[in-house]
Amino acid sequence: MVKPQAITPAAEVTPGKPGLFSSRLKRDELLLGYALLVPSFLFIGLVIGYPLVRSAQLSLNRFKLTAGVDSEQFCGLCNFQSLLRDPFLEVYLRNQAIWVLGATFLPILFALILALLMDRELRGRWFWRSVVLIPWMMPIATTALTWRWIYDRQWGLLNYYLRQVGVISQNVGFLTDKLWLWPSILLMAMWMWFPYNYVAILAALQAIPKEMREAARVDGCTSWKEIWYITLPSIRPVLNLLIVLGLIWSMNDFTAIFLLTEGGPGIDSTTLAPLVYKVSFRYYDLGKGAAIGMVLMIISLIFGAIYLQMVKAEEK
Amino acid sequence: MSRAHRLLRLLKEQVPVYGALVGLTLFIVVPFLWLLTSTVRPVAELYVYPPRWIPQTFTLVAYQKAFQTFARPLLNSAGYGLVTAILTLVVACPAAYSLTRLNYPGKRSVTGVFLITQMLPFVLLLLPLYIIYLKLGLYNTRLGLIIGFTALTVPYSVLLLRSFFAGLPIELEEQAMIDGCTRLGALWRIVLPLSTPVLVAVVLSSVVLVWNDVLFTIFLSKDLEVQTASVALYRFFTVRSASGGVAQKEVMLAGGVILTLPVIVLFTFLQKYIAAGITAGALKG
Repeated sequence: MVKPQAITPAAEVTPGKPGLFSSRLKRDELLLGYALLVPSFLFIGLVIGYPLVRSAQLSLNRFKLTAGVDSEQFCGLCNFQSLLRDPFLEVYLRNQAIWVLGATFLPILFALILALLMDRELRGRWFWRSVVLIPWMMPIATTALTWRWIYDRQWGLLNYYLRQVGVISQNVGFLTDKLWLWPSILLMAMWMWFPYNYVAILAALQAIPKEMREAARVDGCTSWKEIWYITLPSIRPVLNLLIVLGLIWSMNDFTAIFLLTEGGPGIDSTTLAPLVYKVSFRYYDLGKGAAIGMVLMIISLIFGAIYLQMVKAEEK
Repeated sequence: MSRAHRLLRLLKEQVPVYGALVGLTLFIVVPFLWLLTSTVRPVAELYVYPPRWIPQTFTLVAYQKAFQTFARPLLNSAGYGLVTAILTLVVACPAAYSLTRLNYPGKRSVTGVFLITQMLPFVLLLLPLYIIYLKLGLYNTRLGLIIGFTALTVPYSVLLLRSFFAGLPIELEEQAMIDGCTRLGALWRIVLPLSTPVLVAVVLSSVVLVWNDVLFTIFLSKDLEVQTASVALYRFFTVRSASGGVAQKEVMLAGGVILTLPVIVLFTFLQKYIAAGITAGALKG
């Protein structure tokens, strides 16, 4: 099948070596290169590109459907000003902070503890590994349904157990009571988002050279010290990446909160992503909805840039 | 060291580890087990206090009802997942090939565009997308949903394929081209056959994305006839059903289990490919 290479001058078409190309070949390569990208850009352009540009434009226009479908008018930064003057801005920002920090760090912390426990010779390894993947495999609709059922005010499992233990004296509505609302939301977030972090952390742990740990042990390191001085510093780059990724994802996440509480009760669990939806689709203030979304996007892109820098530094 | 001594040391080291593991594992499995056991009992036993882990009567009636309720949406999910996965491969493979094998200006920016799409708040896109879907007649259609899903899976898949293609030795393709193969021929005959693991990873992630999606489907469609099982489930447990009453709890819970089973099967059989996907794509740009 594979013929000897020698004779042919066609070695010129070898890609990746400029200098060897004739200009016609170069132009062909350029055309083919772009042509192969066209299909993917058609999809992305329609579903992501156009809406993005349109949203950017909307964010600078005053456009309330309540004032008519053709009431769109340029107004500069009016939507951003209106956002700053929003009497509930503080509530939204507080919710956003609780959600983003909690939904980023709790899953990573849980994953880290679990990975440290699992990174050794275990009996029934297969069992422990499969168990860990359960929350990952559950579609988010099932996850939200399951937790709603566990949190059920009347028949829920959690109410029963907390009463048994004596933490509460009568049933509470975990998703309606202000005190329990965020802990309940974040418990679900931790449960469903730790597996991804776990897999990444465990892989990083297993990449630590054994000699390093043995040396530490010979030097009389206790296991706590070993974790603190050897293990954690070695997996620190991975942890940093996971933290930045977690921040980006939770910041933009709409589905988890929407399925669990729909941002309620009232606005008590409304973070910025569900707020974009509410302002645009329920209050029909399309300009302001887009403006909030743009703010969210700009913050995400800043974190995205940080992430890419970190990846680059990692590769060096 | 005496035997008793060694046993003591073993206990001291192992007991806390296994104790902690059991504790964490309980937290992980209890919600899942509670979901399971809630679906295999008659309704009357669903609403009992204190909650019962083991039902007195075992029945699969809830599943029977759930299969009837979710038949259409389940078929939709499977169909969309399959079509989206194939479409994604058809669209993403050439793009990834272009980014790894051809030289032209602007390549870095193109990769940047794919990366940025992974960091956008998708909720921002929904309103303009909704309006343009209405205008183009794509709203509430199967075609519209598949186009939307494909646009979501393509950027991630291109990045995944790109990092895999970049790691393949280029000599084989050069050889093939010397032998008279065209570039696309080389992609088809040499690159793709060597890329099976990552192709499986792309298919898997596309299928799972469609299967789990709620956001896009809710906003780009309205009839259960065309919607996916995840959305049908969501609609049953939030919106009161069209007939007036709240949908039955046991049917929803059974629906939730049914929705999870195919994912478990996929994950179990294709576990090694998932690992390949994670290491190749997710943590690297």
